[in-house]
Amino acid sequence: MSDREVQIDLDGLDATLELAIKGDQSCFGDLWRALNPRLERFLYAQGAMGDPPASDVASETWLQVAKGLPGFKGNYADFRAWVYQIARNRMVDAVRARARRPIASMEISELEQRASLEDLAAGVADRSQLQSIIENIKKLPAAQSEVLMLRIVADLSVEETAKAMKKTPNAVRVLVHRALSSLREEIGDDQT
Amino acid sequence: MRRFFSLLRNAMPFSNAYQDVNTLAGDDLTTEPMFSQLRQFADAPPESGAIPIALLMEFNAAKRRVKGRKKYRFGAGALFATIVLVPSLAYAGVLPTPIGRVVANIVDAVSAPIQSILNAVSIPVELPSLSSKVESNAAADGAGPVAELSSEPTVSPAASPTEQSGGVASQEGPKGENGGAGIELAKSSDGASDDIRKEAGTKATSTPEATSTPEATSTPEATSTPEATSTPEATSTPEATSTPEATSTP
Repeated sequence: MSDREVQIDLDGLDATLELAIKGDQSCFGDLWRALNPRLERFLYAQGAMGDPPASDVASETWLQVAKGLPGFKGNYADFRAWVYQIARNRMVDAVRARARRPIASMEISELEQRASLEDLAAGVADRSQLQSIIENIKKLPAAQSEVLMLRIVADLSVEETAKAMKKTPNAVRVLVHRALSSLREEIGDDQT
Repeated sequence: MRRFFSLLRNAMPFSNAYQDVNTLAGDDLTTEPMFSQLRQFADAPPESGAIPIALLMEFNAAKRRVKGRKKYRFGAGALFATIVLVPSLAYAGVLPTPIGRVVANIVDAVSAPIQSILNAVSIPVELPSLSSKVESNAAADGAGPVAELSSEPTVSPAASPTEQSGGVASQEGPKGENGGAGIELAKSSDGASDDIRKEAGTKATSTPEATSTPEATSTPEATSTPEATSTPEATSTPEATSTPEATSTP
């Protein structure tokens, strides 16, 4: 896709966002279809591999978005950053709630994880490599792992990532740099 | 200076990291082979394109909530503007005189209990009377002698019948023997003022004698004696307050 097509697409999503803010239901559906797949994958990779289930957290995120959308101001890039900011908060809430009330039956949760991974990683050729890179990223400090997930899986720019994490763009760049250095060292150690 | 800082930067141990961060344009992540599987995972096509019904219901509920909130804010703002603006405009004389009188009556009816309470606790507070201001505005807007007479220096705020009785109440009600008498006195004086306003108000505004003659306000029989104000007979009898001999004749 050329830069011109990307620009047209973003302009179209800006207009879609404006209509959705005014109350157009179909435009809200378009926004959901444009953002939800990556959001679920981000939540899956950012959470403990489907625990809590990414689809549940994504649903809570979108409910919060639907509540706050009439008062939202900004363009599509701001909207994406806002959605992922809500998703981060809901994920933190879900992890805390899960820690307070652990699920008794582990077999069901394992089945859920497997089913979720099967659904989400349908187009991935080498799933074991995907699993290992996600686990390596999860070993990093929380901010570094989160910034990598937002930049790679959610496909946010540096500025959008900074808004979603409430940091400055330079802080995001530093976190990315440190995360890359740590990952290279760790993968090099594993290979040797 | 710039050379000094460049030498210092090269000498520092974190200089490489500093240069890497500044040259990091963000494209490393999109070309890094380490993340190829992760990018593939993120770019995978969505499994379903149907938005959940519960989400649409929540979206519609949020729309209704915002509309209701807008209506509520508009109504509250309009009510507040009405409460604040209408008496202000009436006081400034912008509103037409009949509307101003109606507003003045409402404001006096609202402020009378407060004034009676303040007088009962012996705090000598005189709330500004909107009705007198409206009357004076109407007189100023009117033609001829009324306007001239109402603007004469002999006309004081104490010249109106309502403020005569109010002044008596504030002078005599108070620090006397007991507070109960003060309450009775204030109530009776307020009742008298209302009666006086109803009966003699139109005459007082329409006739120059009623507002401008000092005799009408300073006669002891009409206003300043305790008998004339504290007893119901004295305030309600036409001889004491509302007769032309007592108030409007020179």
